[in-house]
Amino acid sequence: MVGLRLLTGAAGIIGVTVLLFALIQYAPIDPVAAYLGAANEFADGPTRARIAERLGTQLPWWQHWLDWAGGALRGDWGWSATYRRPVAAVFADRAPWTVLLGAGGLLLAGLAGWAAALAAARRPGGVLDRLLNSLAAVVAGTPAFILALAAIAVFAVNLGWAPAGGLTEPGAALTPAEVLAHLGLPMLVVAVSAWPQITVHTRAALSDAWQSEAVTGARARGVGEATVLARHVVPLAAGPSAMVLAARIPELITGTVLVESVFGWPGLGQATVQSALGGDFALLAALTVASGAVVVSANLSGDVLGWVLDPRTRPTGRSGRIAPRPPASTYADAVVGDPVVGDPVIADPEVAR
Amino acid sequence: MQRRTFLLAGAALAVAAVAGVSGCSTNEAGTDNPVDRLTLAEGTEPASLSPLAAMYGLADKFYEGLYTIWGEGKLQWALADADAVANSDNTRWEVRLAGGRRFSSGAEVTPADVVATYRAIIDPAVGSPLAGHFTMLRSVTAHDWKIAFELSEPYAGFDTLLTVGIAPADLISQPVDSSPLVHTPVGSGPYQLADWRAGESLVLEPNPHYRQKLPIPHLIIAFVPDQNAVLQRAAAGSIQGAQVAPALAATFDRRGWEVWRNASADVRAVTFPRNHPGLKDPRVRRALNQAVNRDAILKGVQHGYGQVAYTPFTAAQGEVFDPDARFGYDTAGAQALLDEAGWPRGADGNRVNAQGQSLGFRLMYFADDIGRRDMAVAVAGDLAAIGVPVEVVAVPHAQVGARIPDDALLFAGGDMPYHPDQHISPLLDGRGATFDPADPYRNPSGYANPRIDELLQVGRVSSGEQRTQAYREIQQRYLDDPALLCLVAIDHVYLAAGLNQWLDVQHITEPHEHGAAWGPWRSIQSWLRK
Repeated sequence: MVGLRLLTGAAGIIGVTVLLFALIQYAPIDPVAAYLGAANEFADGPTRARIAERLGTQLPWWQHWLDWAGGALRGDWGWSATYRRPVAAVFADRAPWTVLLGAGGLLLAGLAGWAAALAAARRPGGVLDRLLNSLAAVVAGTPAFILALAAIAVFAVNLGWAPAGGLTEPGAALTPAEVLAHLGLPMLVVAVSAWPQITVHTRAALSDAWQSEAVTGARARGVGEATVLARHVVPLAAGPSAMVLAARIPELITGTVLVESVFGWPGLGQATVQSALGGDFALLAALTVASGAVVVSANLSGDVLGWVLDPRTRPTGRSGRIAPRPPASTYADAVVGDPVVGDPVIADPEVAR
Repeated sequence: MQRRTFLLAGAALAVAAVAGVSGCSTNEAGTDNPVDRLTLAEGTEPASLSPLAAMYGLADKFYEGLYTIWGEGKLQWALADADAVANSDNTRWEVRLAGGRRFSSGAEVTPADVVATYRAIIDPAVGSPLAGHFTMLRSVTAHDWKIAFELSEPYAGFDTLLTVGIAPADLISQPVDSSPLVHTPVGSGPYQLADWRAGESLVLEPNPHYRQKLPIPHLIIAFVPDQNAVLQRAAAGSIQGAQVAPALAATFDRRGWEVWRNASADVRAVTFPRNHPGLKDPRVRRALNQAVNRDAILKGVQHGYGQVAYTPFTAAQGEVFDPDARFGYDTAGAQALLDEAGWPRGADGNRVNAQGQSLGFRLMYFADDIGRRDMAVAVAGDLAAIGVPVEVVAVPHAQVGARIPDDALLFAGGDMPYHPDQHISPLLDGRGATFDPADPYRNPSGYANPRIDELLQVGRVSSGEQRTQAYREIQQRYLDDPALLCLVAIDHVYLAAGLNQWLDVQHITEPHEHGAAWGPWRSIQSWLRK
């Protein structure tokens, strides 16, 4: 099952790179002009010809793709025209910053989302619930770059609480303190843009769990409210919530592209924009592969995490079960996943989902 | 109830956003930076710091050439310690190298390094973009501490080209794009590179082997593409200098800051598309030159920061520049000329010839350049008034080249302004009159004037008075048969803090290149504290 997913994912990524090379010839970009930059108005014929040959712009797109794919299989990811360095070096420099921003933002969004969802799900239909739902709708509808610009305008320019951009103050040493200070605002923006979906889905999962028969049964057995929350409600909601969290990662990729550009954060998102504008085939193809791999693995690990946390969602069928169902036990220590004796509704994974 | 809550929340967020965005910073200027460092903002991050990648760029902070440009385009000794000496027919030039100069690595600057640098420029394996400016260089040799340049044809003023930064022989001979010099400069200039944080900043520290002590040892060049962000940072005191657009310079008024202007040889001009039937006639081109109000463009678009230009020549070309070569602003005369040339006004006021072809054309500008857009619109307005309809279009850089034969372009010159032939030949030389798609910006108007071609050749090979006369006659003949519609030679405008503490901050006439490599900080290594 997992193997099939990985195989189809890899095929998809390869297909996207083919599409990239095929489509980029229609883009109104001249890689030679982008390479020359401001000197484009003054470069002469022989200079342009030499650069065109270097960048491979004269080749038909499928030959260009074959060259690139052959190199990639051998481990040579090519040379970035935008940064004048090997693609691998660009990745090594920039990937840590994007991972820091994305992971930090997702963590923050997850924590805030859970907190909001718990507060809202306690009293479904109450004031807090409706307020948070409305807020989530508004924030979900606001594009990430508007959030970023508003954050800079409010917190950096007006209040002066945070720097307006960059990794550090220009020329300052690269210390963890400097980086964390500059990370605050972009991470906040990334978290805010991922927060609404997490909140809404987690709140729905929590609300379902709270009203589910297993919880009603536990309450009926006299289990305390705190234990109900910790050992019954949260584990029930954890599965779907983990899937939602992992599904946010592909969105984060597009979100960080915009956020990094606005904040001048030197990560892979900024590199995506610059390589796209410059028609930098090698770097753009490598970024496509990387983001494709992230999407595939994020979705897959989200699903796997969901299966681990909530055995009811494990796929059955001809591909077989991943793990055997846990054995039934007595009422006294009923846990999630145990089919309650005599209750076929919960035991049926299709219905439980 | 739910809908009302949603609307309330949305309104609250919108109000907060609007209030935040429309508020202004109330910070005072922070000019009390430590005196040993200066932070400058630069709009575009350089792709390469190699001295062979570009002329007059940021590499000049790390490298020295044999000579350097000073004042209004004069040559000053840098690594050379005497003027260049030419033989009688300008085919052989000799330069004496000063001794005792060192690279930042500690190695001595020897004639072998100079020879290697100039050989690398013309070496196809290295692939330097500067090769096109040195096509006349046949060989470079050194004897003792004299470097000899052998040219394949006479070339007067060859020493003006000898400003290329000199790098160690072993490093300079590698291909220009993959050489270690791209990211790690090794030069004899005032600064060396401490750190290049990609996308962020360049941190410069003093070159320990430079021949004098630096008044400001540390320079930080921060990359800030957005001009509004530049003004914000300047207001907050986190930068002490930047190049800005003229319109923004007028709005920035803080204690400790001044507006610094450097004249430049960057002439903005409108090309005449060679495929247009009407624009081949010199009378038509003269008429268009007379119909444009250049003073209004200088005042309105450039806010006075610049000089009116009638021909592509500027003061940067030295004594060959003829300031009396001018067109008058005469709309009536222009209209009469157009009538005489066979382009009377039609029923709708636009001029058409006997075959029904319109005199109008499209005027392109680079889509990301607002200054050029404003100039294009001004020109279109002036020409519409005399019956020539001009449609202004924004075009991305990638598409401009192929359209040059059919549509006019708001063009900028001055990339190699200090040598008259390097500045003018690419625009006027008849050998470039046929369109070459691989070299679209050469002779963009498709101009060919046999007498001017003769004079260009005289200017190349002769020296002294004969040379000056040749270029002056070119300017006079240009007035009869203009190749372009020249508008203004713009000034580059900078905001600079703390300059009043220093003496000997030089005004230097700039090429097209601008930014942190130029401005008042071009001469930073020789400033004197008051």
